[in-house]
Amino acid sequence: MNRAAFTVSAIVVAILLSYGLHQALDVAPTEATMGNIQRIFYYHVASFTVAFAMFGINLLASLIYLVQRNTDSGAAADALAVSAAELGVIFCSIGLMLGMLWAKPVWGIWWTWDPRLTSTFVLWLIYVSYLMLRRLSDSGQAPTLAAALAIFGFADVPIVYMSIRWWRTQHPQPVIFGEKGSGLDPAMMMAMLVNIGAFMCYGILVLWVRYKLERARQQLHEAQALHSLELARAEAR
Amino acid sequence: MDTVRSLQHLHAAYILTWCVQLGYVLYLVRSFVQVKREAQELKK
Repeated sequence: MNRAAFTVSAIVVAILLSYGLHQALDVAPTEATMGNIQRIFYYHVASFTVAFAMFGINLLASLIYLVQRNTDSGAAADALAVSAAELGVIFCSIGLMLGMLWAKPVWGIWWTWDPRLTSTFVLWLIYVSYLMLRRLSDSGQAPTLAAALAIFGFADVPIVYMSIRWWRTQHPQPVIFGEKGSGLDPAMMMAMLVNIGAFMCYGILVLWVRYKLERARQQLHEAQALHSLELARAEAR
Repeated sequence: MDTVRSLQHLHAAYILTWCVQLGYVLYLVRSFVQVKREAQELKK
């Protein structure tokens, strides 16, 4: 993507996000029992949707890395995996914080250890450990270990998604693909879909930037390693 | 059932989302500048 294409994409994403904000705060009707606080829903759901998509990208990139470890495409897959994991953690953290801000006025508590919240917190911890493993380990095996962790880590995503279907939870039951009688007002559905779309476009754009940064870092580390090797050779002579 | 507290939470949620996202974008920009500077130093 050249600079002009990136600028156009950024402008389109900014327009989409503004439209999403307008839909969430002005267009969507006020929920009858909770009132305006329910409007957190549009960002809460959108954040988790992007987080799950990023963890999915991380899983696919990790699998590719494990298959093509010693090639340039393997390095590219590794860069994509770490970028997606980082973005997934950002979106998951936002989703969790929004959930807490929503829970306090509605439930009277910031947090409860119900299956949905607990499994989401575990998911967050898994991917934070993934990033810490990548950042703190000097071992050359760190990307391979992280890729293996990513495969096990993603197993929690379907558990988080299904938790409100499998167990009785404090968290509300699903409004999309839920039981008979569940569902959303069409205007609320529109606001939700617009925000999911806008967040997804924003997420992909930032993922592309983060991926480029990781590739630049890989190239720099490679150049630094070659430079050190040349210096060592010159000293040996 | 809107209370001052619940509206404060609503505003905090939207502001917090964009503070975190903008903070992350700034971190990316700073990291790009740092990588570019290190690459230029290596070339010297």
